[in-house]
Amino acid sequence: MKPQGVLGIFGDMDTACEAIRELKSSGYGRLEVLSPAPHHELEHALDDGPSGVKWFTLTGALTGLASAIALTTWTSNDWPLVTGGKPIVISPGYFVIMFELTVLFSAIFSLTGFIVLSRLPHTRLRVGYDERFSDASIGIWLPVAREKFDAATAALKKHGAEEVKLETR
Amino acid sequence: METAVATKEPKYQDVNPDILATLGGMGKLYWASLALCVLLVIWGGACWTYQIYNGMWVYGATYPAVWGTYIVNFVFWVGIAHSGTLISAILFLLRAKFRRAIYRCAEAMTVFAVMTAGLFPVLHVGRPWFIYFALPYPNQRQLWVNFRSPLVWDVFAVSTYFTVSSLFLYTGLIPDIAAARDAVKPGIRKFVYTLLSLGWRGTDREWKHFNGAYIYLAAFATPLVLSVHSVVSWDFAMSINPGWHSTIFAPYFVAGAIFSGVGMVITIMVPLRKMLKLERWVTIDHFDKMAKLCLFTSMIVGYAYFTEFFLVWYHGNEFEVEVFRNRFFGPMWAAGWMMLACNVFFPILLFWKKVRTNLTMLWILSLFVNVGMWLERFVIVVQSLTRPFLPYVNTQIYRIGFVETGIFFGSFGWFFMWFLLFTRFLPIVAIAEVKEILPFTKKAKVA
Repeated sequence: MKPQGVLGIFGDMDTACEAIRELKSSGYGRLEVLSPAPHHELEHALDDGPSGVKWFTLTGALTGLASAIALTTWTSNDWPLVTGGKPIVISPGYFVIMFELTVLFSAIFSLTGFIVLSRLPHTRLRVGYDERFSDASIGIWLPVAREKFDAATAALKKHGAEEVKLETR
Repeated sequence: METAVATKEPKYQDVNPDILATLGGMGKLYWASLALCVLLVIWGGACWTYQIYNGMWVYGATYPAVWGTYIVNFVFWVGIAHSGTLISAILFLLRAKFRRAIYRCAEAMTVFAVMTAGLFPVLHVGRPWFIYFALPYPNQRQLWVNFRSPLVWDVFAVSTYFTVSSLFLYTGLIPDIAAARDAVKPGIRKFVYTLLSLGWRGTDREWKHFNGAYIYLAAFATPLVLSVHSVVSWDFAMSINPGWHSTIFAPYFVAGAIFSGVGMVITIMVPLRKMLKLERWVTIDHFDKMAKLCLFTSMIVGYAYFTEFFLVWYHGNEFEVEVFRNRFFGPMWAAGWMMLACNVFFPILLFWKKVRTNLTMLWILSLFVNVGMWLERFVIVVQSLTRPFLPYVNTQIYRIGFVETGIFFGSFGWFFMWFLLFTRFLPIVAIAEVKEILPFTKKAKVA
């Protein structure tokens, strides 16, 4: 479905938070809040669950650890040369490689998780966005059908939106 | 002298215009600095070419000091890289608010310092086209790297550190690049910012996952920053060379790295703040706190020196005793005493708030820290090697030739060149993070 909806622009944090609380349960679908920075007030008003990035991080950490164990063990066995009377495999020195690859993979996976879960990259910014949202304004996007535009506009204005834009593509 | 209250209280709406203004037209001083850096890079490159053409004899490293200033520079630059992640990751986890205005600068410094450090092993091996031998790659002779070697740990540690620091820097930059994208006129710059910002809009979903990723990146970068210089220190400590074989090397190197890194942040931030007119955002209070960090790490470094000396005296191994005597009373005594003065004695001045809040004095002190920390690595790497177990080479003095000098200054040119380019194209102060702690002004004017 083509994105369409109503975008309210707020210049005040308290008003925006109040509007979020009211509009969340008024049947306009999942509203989207746009802000220049991650403000706790908005997070509390939205009361959304925690991020799922941690599962990506965990997968990355386990992948990195397994890769490091596999790499060190396999290469040591591939050329089994005894040095200093030490065992061929499992040396405390391998822990360094295991640690580094665990960190490396978990970092790469965390970033991937953030990009995937945030549904980035966006190729279009036109619908449901205003350049003021990266400056000093807060936006509330209600994804509603055309026939509900008037009601949604009225609701946003009622809750203190300083400007309301109808957006279609 | 500037005072803490000299500037107007910053407001939420001022963040974008003020900080994005730094991406605008640069003055003559900027272009002159950039030109100087490029010239230094060219000079360093010419010296390296001379070395490749003439052979490794132009490099001062010769038996018994087979590790010379390239390794000193490598350790120095890796050390410089440490404060970035300390300020961005560790202080983030500790919720230290003062980091917000300075962490971007420190983090960019980290990435460029690792890029600089990474050049030196390549220079040191003599045949740089074989540097890939350090990596574990499938080959027909079935030869693999030795995973028990600290040098291989170093390859993994430094490359992981570079990758994670770069990802951390980039992740933090995404919302700020979006702010820059929205502020510039359509054109190439806007197109590049749009690509780099991945179409960031600042939705609640984006922020939630951004914060989720950022905290994990910080959580993993924290042990990483401690591990990298520990691993670098093990390059030395794992050998049985007198002066190197010490168990305190890891914490001693990490403290030294943070000390030198914070010193370099101050060295860079003082002129940069002036050049980019960031006085409202990077305040005297920030410098005061960085100076305290410097003082704290200086005391750890001083304590580590003392412990090292004490242990050598206490166990009385004659080779170790000779190495430490040589540090302060040998032919290169000046390096040892200057190291002590710059790293332990001069920073004592930072106990006084007047010194910490006087930017000129602080800047000069930070230069001494940089010099002192370079000398510390020189003392550890080169001086220790000039006193091996065999007595007949005891008179060796390490001579630094023009090739090493050129490459040393070239590395500074290389580092600052990237840094200056960064300030030209990307926000040097974290816009979104600064906004997070500013009150969202009531009834902010919607343009």
